[in-house]
Amino acid sequence: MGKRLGFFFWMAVVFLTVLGLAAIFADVLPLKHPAETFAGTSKSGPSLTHWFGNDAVGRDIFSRVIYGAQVSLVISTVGTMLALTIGGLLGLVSGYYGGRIDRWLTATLNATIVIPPLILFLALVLFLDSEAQRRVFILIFTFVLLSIAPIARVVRAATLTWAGQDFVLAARTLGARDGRVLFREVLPNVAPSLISYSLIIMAGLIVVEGAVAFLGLSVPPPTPTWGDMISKGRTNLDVAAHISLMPAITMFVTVLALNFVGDKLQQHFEPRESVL
Amino acid sequence: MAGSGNAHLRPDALVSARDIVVEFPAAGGRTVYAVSGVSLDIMEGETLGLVGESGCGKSTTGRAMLQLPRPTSGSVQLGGQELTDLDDEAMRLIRPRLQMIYQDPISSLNPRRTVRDIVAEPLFIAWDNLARRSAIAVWQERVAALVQGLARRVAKPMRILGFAMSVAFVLWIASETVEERAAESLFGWTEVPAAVIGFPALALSLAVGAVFAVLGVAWILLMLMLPFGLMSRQFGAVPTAVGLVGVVATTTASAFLLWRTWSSFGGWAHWVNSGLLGTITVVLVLWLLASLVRPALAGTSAVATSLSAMVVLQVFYIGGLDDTPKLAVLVASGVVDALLFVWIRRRYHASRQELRARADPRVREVLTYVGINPDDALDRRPWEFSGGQAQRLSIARALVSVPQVIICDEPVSALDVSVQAQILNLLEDLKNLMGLTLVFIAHDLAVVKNVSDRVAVMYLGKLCEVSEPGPLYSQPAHPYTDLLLAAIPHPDPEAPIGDSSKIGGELPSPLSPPSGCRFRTRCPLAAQRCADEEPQMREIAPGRFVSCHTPLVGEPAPPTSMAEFSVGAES
Repeated sequence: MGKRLGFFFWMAVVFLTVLGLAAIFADVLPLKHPAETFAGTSKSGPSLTHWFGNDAVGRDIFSRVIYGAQVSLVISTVGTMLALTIGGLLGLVSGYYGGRIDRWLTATLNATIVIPPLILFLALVLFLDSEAQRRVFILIFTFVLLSIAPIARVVRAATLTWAGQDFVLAARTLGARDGRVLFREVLPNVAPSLISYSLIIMAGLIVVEGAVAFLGLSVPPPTPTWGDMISKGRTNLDVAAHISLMPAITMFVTVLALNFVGDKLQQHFEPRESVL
Repeated sequence: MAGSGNAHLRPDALVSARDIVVEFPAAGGRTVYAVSGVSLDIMEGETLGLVGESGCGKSTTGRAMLQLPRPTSGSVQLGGQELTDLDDEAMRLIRPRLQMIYQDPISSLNPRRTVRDIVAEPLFIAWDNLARRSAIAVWQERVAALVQGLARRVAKPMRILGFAMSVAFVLWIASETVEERAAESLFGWTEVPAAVIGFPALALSLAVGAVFAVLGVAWILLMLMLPFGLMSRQFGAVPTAVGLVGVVATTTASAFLLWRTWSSFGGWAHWVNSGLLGTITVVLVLWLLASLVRPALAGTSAVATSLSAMVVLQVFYIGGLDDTPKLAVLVASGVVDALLFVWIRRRYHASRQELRARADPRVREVLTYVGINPDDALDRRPWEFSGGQAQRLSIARALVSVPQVIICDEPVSALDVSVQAQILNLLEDLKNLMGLTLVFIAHDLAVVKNVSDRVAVMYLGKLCEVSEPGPLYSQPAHPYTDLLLAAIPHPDPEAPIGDSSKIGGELPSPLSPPSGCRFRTRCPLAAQRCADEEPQMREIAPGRFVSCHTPLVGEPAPPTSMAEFSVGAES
């Protein structure tokens, strides 16, 4: 297609890659232990030895941000991928077959949109809660439940547009089966908007995780999460703003990068636009 | 006037459509009467022009011939074979013979695919459908034989095993009882004869053994049938990933069942000792080995079954491991399974590259036919072409499966006038070259005149007139044809603009078409008879058919006593 993605796109990609790799190899990297108290002076600002400074009990914030990325990235990627698969399939089926299937699916999905997310979290966490590991699954489950409907809607709308095109009729005239029509003809056209939208959903999940952590409902300590760090740092905002600010900036940049990459990819893969 | 009747049909037609009715449900429980009893036939090598205003049902008629959607009623025959009776699967095998070219060349080509794939797709689909049909036939035979054989072969050992187990159970209970009795006797209790204690125990253990035996047989059948049945269908040409998911899903389900039983038996030692599950393992392993050693004998589905059986065994093995190596073994076995699956698929199915290579000469040839240089075009995508070129690609796609009949649905309406002539000439040349039979749908009478051997004029879901183009254009018989011809603008800037008021009013709604002749609301000659009685197709001159009570050429329709019949036939 020959269209340039631009410098900022690649910056965003590099940032996300570095963050992802750092999170994966956090144990191997020469980082302070994230739970080690008084690894540095309490509440001291960023320095050469402690890049992001230290928090109220002297834990290294940089190390905690990297370890916190594990939680954020795992929850957002796994949640998005599950929601993408389920919501994408539901949207495809709903948009392609239409009729009664469409009505039932749309009604059911709309019903899940009605659920207030925070109340669902509270209910699930209080009801099922126990160990820290289990909390991750509860979070992912809730995120998936909440993001299936929006994804399915986007996919359904795109499928409706594409399934009405003559090339879909042409494929059926050739004797293609529904599966072939859906996955060979419709899906490749729906995929770009699907992928870019899922990146935005992923960014959204990171933010929601932060919000949930603020209420103390995310993965419990000692596992560091970005939301938890921001939340804990707020008592010291006047003397040591960096305790909240550093994870907040990281979250901000990550979300921005995801959104940016999503937007750029969508523009890039839009075939019609590149002709005009 | 737009009416019914079959007087214009000829025997020995290649395509013969009789009384096609297409109705769509509309909002509020109403019905759109899109096509109401149209009969058409096309001789081999003939071009039929189908003209009419927008919304008169000409495209719907063309699609009804392709069974997309199937007509509500009526019959469509291709070379004497009835198409409306065929199920979807049988129709798929016919479809390569019936092709279609669409109005909008851009939207009829998938913008995501290359020309190479678009033009070759009819071949891929046709090959796939053929392979699938034979696969399904083979599968049905094999499955019947296998189920019977399996039931026969497995039932007997399981009965023996059940019996052996019950014997073992009895012996075990008996020995326990004997020991207990010994203990009891130590405490001075009265001794009970062994036979009395042994008998109820024997009965109980026999019953338990029988239940186990029946369950065991059912279980093994289920285990082998479930992935077996699913897989053999997957092996058609469903994408690898779907097949893989099928394998994993079925085997996970069966593995879960087995695992539950296994844990209720309390681990490896008991599981193997319990005999029944041990036997299942042995059967699976043997099955796996047999089908791997002789896949040709066992067939593809057996390979798939053994693969899934292997996955089951892996799950067991992994289930028994500690947490640390669990993940590693899980990933490794997953990779091995995926590779095996791909290997099996490759063995029985041509890869995309092989299919492409097989299709390539045909694709190139057809592209050359339609005047496109294959070397330039093959790797480009449809939106890189102009409208006329894209329509050429569309024609190439229709030609590649060597069809008998091509339905051209307004193929030049969206093109520049200069390009229109090129495409029309191309179609004409190809028709002569390949002996095609064409249905040419258009709203432009001038276009149809030049290409057609026979022209049918449609109005609101009914036929008005069927005739050769010469007389039809020089002396229209049906008032509607006359008005259509009068509406053609003349390419002379000095000429007065035609009397456009001649054809007044709008097309009536197909939701509630007029009674009698459907054209009567706009017809200058309409009389009371036209509202009461639907005109039937009749021959007014050799080769000229018209459905009108008072045609412009020939005699008026004789009064008929069949008026009630024809009105009834329309509803």
